[in-house]
Amino acid sequence: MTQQDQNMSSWSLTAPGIHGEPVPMRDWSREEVDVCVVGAGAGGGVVGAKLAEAGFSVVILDAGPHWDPMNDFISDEHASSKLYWTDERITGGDNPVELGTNNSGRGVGGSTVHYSMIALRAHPDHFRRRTIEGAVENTDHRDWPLAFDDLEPYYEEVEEALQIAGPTFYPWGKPRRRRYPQREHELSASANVLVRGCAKLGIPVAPSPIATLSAPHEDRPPCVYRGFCNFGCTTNAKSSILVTYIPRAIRAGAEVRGNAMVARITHDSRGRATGVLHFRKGSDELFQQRAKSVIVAGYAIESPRLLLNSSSSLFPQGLANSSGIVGKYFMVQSSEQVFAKFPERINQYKAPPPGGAITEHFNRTMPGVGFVGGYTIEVIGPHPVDFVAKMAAGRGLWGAELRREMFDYNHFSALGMVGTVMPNRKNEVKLHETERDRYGLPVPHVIFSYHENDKRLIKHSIAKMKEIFEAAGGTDVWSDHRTSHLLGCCRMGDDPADSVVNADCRAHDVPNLFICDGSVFPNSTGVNPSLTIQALAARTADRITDMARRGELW
Amino acid sequence: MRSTQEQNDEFRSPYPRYNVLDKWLSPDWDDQTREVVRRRLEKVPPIRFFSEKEAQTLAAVAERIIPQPERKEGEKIPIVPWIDEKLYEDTRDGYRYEKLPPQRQAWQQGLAGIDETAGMLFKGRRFVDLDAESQDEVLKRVQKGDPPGEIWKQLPSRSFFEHILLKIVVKTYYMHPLAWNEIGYNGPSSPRGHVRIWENGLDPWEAQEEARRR
Amino acid sequence: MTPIEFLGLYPFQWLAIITAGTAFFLMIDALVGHYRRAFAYRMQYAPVVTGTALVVAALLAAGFPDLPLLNQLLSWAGWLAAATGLVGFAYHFYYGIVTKPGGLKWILHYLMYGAPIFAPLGLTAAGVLGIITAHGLAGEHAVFGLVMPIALFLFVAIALAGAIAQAGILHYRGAFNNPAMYAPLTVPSLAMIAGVWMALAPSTVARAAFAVLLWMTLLVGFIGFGMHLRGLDREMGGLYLWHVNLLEGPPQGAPGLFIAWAAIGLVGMYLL
Repeated sequence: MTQQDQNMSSWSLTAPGIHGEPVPMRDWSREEVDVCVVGAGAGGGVVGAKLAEAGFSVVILDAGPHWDPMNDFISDEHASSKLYWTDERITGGDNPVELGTNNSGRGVGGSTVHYSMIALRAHPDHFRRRTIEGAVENTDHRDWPLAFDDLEPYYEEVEEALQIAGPTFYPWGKPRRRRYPQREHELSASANVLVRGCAKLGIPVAPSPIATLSAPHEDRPPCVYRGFCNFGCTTNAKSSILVTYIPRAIRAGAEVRGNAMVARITHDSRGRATGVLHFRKGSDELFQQRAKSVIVAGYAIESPRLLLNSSSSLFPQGLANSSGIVGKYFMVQSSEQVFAKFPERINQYKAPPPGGAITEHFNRTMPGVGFVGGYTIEVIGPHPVDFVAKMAAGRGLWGAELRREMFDYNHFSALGMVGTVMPNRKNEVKLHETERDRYGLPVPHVIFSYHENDKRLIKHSIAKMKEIFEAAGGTDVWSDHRTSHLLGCCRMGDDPADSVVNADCRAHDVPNLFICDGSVFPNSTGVNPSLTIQALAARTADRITDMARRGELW
Repeated sequence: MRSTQEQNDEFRSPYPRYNVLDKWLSPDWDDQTREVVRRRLEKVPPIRFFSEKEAQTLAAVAERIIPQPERKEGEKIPIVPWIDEKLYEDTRDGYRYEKLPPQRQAWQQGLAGIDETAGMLFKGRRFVDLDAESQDEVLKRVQKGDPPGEIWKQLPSRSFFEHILLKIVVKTYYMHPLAWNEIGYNGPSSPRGHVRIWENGLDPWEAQEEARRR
Repeated sequence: MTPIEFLGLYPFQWLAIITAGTAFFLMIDALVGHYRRAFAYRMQYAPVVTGTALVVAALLAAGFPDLPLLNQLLSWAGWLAAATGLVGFAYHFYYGIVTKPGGLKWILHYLMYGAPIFAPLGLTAAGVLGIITAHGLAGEHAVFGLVMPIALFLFVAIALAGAIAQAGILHYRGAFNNPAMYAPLTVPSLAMIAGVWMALAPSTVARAAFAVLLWMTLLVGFIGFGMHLRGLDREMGGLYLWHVNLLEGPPQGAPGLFIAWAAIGLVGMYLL
């Protein structure tokens, strides 16, 4: 980018700042930018901000609004559904995935606005699962085309940027080279239950690293333990992308354009991406954003959907899909939840839902359990609307019995797990044949069924969580099925016939197209994916910078 | 029929003196949250989507799924109006099971199905005209997935009951401050958070439990 | 050794006032910290009671230095406070760490979030100071077998060690988010070393070094007050939500300890 290009755009726009004040922002809508990022969440926010800081002209688009954390976030469960992607998606398969709540975000910041902030690194073994675990029937899990060591500096970079609050010594994964930037949080009642139960059973348990400040940082205060983390943080203590990387991007001259739903990626006759066409709120018209390169970061449903919706005579199967596997190998993470009643007041509405304790003891391939992969056990803290839905579904409870049981809401404690799920070609995101959304675009049709291995892992985890609760003195133990996170569909690999992007997240088929979110995961890890997505995005930004400077991109 | 006293005792909250709205002006409630809850309390929407018959059936169903016998008509936590508003505005949830039709159709068919089943099990009577036990029997058949009726051949009854009816009715109930009171939920908490986050730790503004059952 | 009058008061009167001030800050801290825990144990009232007793006794002894009864009272209050502090230390260790979920394996967590382990020893130190003061007011030149200034210098060194340790733990918990948070670890540590040096091998150099470092420690304490107030303001809601931020933010009275311990050293150095 030349200085002249920079001068063409003006700082004529404003964006909501994190303290409710408007901040000036560049307007790139009439220019051809270096980079157009689709999606302002964990992947897009990081890669966009870093590229803007590297001096490129950047536009970051998001389908939802640009949130003003001081005024838009409501301290109420029901009113916070606006943070979710609530456009219709059709869900099927043997184990249809519930979408639209915990696993989706709409708006600048993406799902990091309402995620539970658990900031774990994947283990070195997670990147070489195929090598370690061998072939498993009816699945196709792969080693990653990059190793933990490639990501380690980026994990450190992102942890620093988000000021992760974690323990002095974290017992799992590769030993850390640097301490967490901030200290762990105080344990909540639910976390005490986990620690108590684990201690009794001899299961190692540790403070959990989470992306919430435990001490002031710059102009953001530490967490006040409101407990509404899943409904948007009104204090800015939570290190979402919205309050960390997005302000950096805007300061560095990027335009962050909310309410911009991208319909398709355009390309020229040589098959190189030329920009995107997107809708703007309140208009049926398609706007064009010209760009020298496009980064798709819409998460594992919207990213493949966009590629499939961008089919053309040159790319009849969809953009970057000569392999035919865009949309295939869709994964979630199993996320079973177990509840128990205690004589003490637990008050699960308080403190960040992860509570402050975690065990990754079962996050490894264990001998003699009959499955490969592993899971992490975490604390959760549902508020009443969420909780009653789980209780009604998990126990089939209704009527007077349900209402009376809810009187004990404050005495329940809850654990959740995050488990690996095997990639399976039959699990996929495709375009629905007939259903169209409000923009007239085909809606995603999501097919998901658990593999036998996944079911055995789930069974094992529920038994362990129940054991922990019983050891801690819990009664009336019950569980509810749930999934979290969306992974796969544009998996990374070295072989263009068998993957969509390479280790740099660059599409094999379209040299100036990148995909930078959970959809590139070739297998799942036993930890929450956000930190890995962010680290991958940070690395991708550096790779793009290198390639662009060498003249390999545009 | 049980006495009113019995019914009151059945739903006697362990937090009889707690009222979350007492904190309306405290630092636990910010302006935007006050606005949302004010609307929930004062601006209950009119019925615009359901027919009168559908609304009656749903009201009766909701009263079985989350009974409020101790509250007089007009004092009950409204359920039907909010579901009606959701359907009138067609606010979606972000997903739909492939075996279920779009939500408007699902609700209309489901409510008609409940009436149809009621009629087939109880000599042509409507759901609203049944006694509580018979109503429960109808709903249990729907929940189990084997209710008699033509409509259920198109609409999977178990899926409708579990994924749509039950979930949305109970969620609607527990979004109301009266429901927060009876379970001792702290309610809105912004900007003030919590200090005593450990077991049995209660900040002065949290619900004090008086009579714990069992 | 001739006691020197300063602002109309003799050195041990000053020490009595410092004792009262220290006990007051410690008592306030205990009150706030124990209120935060909702006075779950009846013992949590103990430091409030004995701390208040020490404040009153020390002020009375300062006001009427010639009354032997008040002198004796200060001594008793000193012993009581010192004992309370020791019991408190045991309580803080046992209930604040050992019996918590995870117990000693989680010592790093509970050092930060359990009861502040060294805080009760602050009260012990204030008590000991009361006892020393009582001896001094009675005209004795030695206490616990040590001549007065030496006893005071050693006392300052030990008391500083406790304050540094507790500040270190809590500033570590605050991730040293402001570089100034290193100040109470560095300057007072040097003062502590100089204090021991002065006690064991007094020399002009040691004296000069100790004096400079004591003045700097005093300054650290005063700046600390300001910084802790600023820290409270940086919490969510700042001073508007003072009633929670007083409990969650930096302990407002804590920097006072550095002022107190440094002042004792200065009294020993300039007035005795």
